[in-house]
Amino acid sequence: MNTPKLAAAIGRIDSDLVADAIDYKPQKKRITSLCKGIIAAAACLVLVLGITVIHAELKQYTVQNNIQVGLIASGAAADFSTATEHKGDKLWQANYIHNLLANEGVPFYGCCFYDSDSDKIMLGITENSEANRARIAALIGDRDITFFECGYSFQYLEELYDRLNDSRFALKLLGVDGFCVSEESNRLTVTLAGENCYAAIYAVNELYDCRGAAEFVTAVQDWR
Amino acid sequence: MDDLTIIGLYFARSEQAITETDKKYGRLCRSVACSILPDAEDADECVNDTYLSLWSSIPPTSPDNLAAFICKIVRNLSLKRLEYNNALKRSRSVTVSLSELESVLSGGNAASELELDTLGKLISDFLRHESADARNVFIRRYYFFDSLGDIAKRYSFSESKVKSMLYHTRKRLKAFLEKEGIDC
Repeated sequence: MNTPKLAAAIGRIDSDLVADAIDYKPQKKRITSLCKGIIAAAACLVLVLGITVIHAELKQYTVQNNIQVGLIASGAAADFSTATEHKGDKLWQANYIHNLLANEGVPFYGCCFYDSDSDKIMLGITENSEANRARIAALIGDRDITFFECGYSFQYLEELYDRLNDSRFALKLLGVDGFCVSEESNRLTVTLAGENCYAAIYAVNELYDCRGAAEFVTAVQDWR
Repeated sequence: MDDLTIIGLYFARSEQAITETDKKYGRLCRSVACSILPDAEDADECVNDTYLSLWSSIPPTSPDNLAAFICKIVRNLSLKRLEYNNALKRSRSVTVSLSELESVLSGGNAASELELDTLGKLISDFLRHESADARNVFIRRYYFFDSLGDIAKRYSFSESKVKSMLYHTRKRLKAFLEKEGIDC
């Protein structure tokens, strides 16, 4: 085998080229600190813009659907200092009826509470028919109650409660402080960390399918 | 020890020059020789011959770059030894490298020294206009006869990238030589 002419000629290339090849290290494409800064700033900007856009969209959702966030006094507890024996008896009766009907699993039963303004025990049923009223009367006996038609059955509200309760930690991150079934409003009352927790409102209404059945409140400092 | 001091030792005819050369460039010499010669004994002999050649050529020669000078000697000696041993022992890797070059410039006939010098200058000119990566990959492959895997490892490239770089450099070299009136 003869060494090809070219191979022999390559043996005569300039020494500096050979010396360079001995020590050569390819330049790694390094990201300079300036580039790093620009990338970090751009990432922050995108993040801020993203959050702003999402927040605006969620706010728009709240406005468009006319969702109001009610205010409740924080730490406000039921004041029984002025409760009379009569009032106490009514409250007990309302509670008794509620427990009875809830345990019986009456599908059209909505809520039961004592309305101190009218001094009446109010009983909500999803369909205010003679047959339904008769069935309730058969269960609770002869009591002085006022029927009214309500939007949601207690069973349905309990189902929604369970649904939210299963995801309470995720909801907490979005700003849901707590939730409960409210007898008076016949709704699932969701307490928010603030008025602007639009993500929480969206999640409860759309992701957990509570639209209409949930009412939102936020606690405000009670200065009284 | 720096190169100038080693060259100084050669000029002073001190045998320490060989020791220091071996200490500094022994590994490089062996790697060049081993890339060309399959037999370790042959490679060692070539390295020793390289030191002898250095001893006889310095002085009067005073190389600008000792490393390149040594590489040139060890490469030439190794290729000569390979030619000598060709019938019995053939280094597959060098054969592959050489056959790649044959596609650029055909004809293995002995060329005159002048012709080889001219060609060497042209290749140097061509390589100077190549990117540093392409140039050094080319030299590692066809001067030092490194394997594709070794080049890929040395420069943190993939083997396919090295192969592709070599292919395109050879293509450009062929076009360049044709333009320069070299009969390919």
